[in-house]
Amino acid sequence: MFVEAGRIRWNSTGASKKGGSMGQPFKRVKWTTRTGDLLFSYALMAPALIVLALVVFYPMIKGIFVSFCDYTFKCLNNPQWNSFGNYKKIFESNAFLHYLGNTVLYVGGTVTSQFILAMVLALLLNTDIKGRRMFRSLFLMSWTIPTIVVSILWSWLLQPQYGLFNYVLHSLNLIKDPNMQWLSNPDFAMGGVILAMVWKQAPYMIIMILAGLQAVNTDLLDAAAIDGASYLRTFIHVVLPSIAVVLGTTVIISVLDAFQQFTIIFNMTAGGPLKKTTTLSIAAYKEAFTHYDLGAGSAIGVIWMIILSTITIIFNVKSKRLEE
Amino acid sequence: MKRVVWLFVVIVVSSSLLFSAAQSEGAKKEKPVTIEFANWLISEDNTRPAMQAMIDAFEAKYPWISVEITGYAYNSVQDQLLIRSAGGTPPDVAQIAPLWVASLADMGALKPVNEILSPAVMEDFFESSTGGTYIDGKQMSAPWTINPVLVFYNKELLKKAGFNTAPKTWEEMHMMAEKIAALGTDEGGNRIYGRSVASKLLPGAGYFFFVDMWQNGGEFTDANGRVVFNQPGTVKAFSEAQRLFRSGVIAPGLEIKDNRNLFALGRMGFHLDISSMIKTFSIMSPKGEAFKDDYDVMMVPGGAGAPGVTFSTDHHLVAFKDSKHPNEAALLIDFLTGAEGMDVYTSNGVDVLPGRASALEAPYYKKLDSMNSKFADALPMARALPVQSAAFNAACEEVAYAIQRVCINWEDPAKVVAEIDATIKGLYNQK
Repeated sequence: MFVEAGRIRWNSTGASKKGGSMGQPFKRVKWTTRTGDLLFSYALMAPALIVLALVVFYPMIKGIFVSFCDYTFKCLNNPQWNSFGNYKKIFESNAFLHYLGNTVLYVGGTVTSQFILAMVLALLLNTDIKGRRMFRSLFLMSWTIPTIVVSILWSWLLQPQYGLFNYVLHSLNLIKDPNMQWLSNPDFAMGGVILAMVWKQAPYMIIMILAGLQAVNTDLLDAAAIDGASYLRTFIHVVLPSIAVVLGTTVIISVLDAFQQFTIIFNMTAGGPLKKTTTLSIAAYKEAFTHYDLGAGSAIGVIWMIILSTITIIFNVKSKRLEE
Repeated sequence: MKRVVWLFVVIVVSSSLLFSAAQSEGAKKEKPVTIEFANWLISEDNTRPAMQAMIDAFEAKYPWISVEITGYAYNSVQDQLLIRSAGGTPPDVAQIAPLWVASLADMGALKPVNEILSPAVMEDFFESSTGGTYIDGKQMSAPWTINPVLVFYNKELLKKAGFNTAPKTWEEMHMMAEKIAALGTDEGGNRIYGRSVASKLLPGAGYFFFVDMWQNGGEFTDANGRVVFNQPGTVKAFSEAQRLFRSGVIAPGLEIKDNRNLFALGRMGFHLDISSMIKTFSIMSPKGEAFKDDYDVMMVPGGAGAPGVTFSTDHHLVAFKDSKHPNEAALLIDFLTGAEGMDVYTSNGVDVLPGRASALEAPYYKKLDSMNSKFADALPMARALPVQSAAFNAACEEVAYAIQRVCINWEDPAKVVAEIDATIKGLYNQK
């Protein structure tokens, strides 16, 4: 085996003519400094890989395994294969599709709103407006607040009887009912949780887009200006293509983040009213820890994982093409 | 000479007996036993000193037993106990909500307390609180503290609505609640509500609605544990709730803590809650301690001429099957639930009611104020929630879902009750 430019290759001339006991040619390994370096680097990575295998891969594989089993507290140490029973259970009723629909609505609403808001604010912060640094710090604040605090804060703001939201809207004559229901109204509840999530996560997108905007090649901008391109044309034909990769990465991370969101939804609405905000994360939790059916909870988790993996793979393929 | 020999023999025998006795005592001391007690009291600021004091008192009484306290946040106790039981390393004793007992019992993780406590101690527990965790002929947990749910009512709002006395019946309470809601707003222009019903999609909202169900003659399970949710009484309770929600007597979409806030702000006529709220309302209300003059407490009034029925949200103690020290675990449970333990508990500023009749002998219970006395009087009457099945939690969430369908989506109560009954029966495998 030879190592060349960091790659290991077998040296065909190294194969012994004598052959091995099984008739296989012996492969002589030529030990080089590079081989040593490579093995050393694997040795350095090994602890991290072992920890990763224990805390990520093992639970993941166990989760996939138990999703095919009767797995409740009665048989916690002895899961029994149940012939796709958990999957049949979640697909038999239309509930799963309802929860998936809610999830798509939540993810779509959150990421779209976040993207528009973040893009506008990032473009503003990328100009020479006064107090730019102060605004940057201010916009970051909501991102630093723990998610549980955000959910409590927004629950209070949207509280119908003594919440600030109703007080302000009613004072401005924007709503007639001073006790307007937000989180307990089936039509508005999803909007309420999306609002809280956007408030919490938009700063992340602002930072990413701002970083992308600041890396745009100024030569291209100057050239566009000399050619007399309008702001809009420059933005569409120069700025957007330059930051496309950053935007893609940011959006995919936000999609994954929103898909997994549990804390905000559970604390604000617990999946209600009328299960209108029951997303896959809430459904998986309730199957596992309210119904105590860990197998069915895992089955929802596995389907959820497949969806997220598919999104990630599609994104990776697309972004690779974009980079090329 | 003979006497001297006898005297010598007596001295030698006595000394050796004394020496061996001292040695066995010494051996006992040399082999101290350590037991682990998992609870959430040690994790909360207002109960931590009481918890530590109780353990100090226990260790002083039983010097060979050391108690290692493991603190968990309330919300994570069930998960922690399940995980540890599955791993074969549970604590010896744990504080627990009765709602979680069935899931641990299903795993076979618990040692029935009737197997380690004496019959005298078992008979001392209030029967009303042991029933909920009596599973397959075994008492799986021991009631430690009992929190009966009673009706808090705002006397000032009642007066404004033209009433000088508390309601005597469930129907009268609703009539008064409607009059209170009809007051409209308070001086600050804030809306006033008649009574509270929690309607967030959580199990707690479901089992609090049992009070409405019971007062209307409904039931959740029968004596054999079969689900009997779909009854005229249950439909009547949902119909009544729908009417009160629709007319604005009850605020929709609130969870228990929202209703507590509204009551503390003086914007709610009737509110069902536990005794610890007496202190909390004084903290929450803008009037502070003076708010106590504005409200009072009463037993849940009965419906249709029947006596009022309520439930209690208790804290229990459990022992684990894998405990290596079941006798010491039993001593700890006996001590904590008995008069000595409850004396230490209550003398450290925590207002709790005991799970055992004899514990009422503790000095604290001899000088209860009028409001707390009413809660103490309700101890033998409050029903334990029927938590024998691990499906109870999910069933209660279905009841909360039914409240939302009837009181937010205005669906037909009879249809909703029938559908939810079928769902709950499915959860209980009783189709």
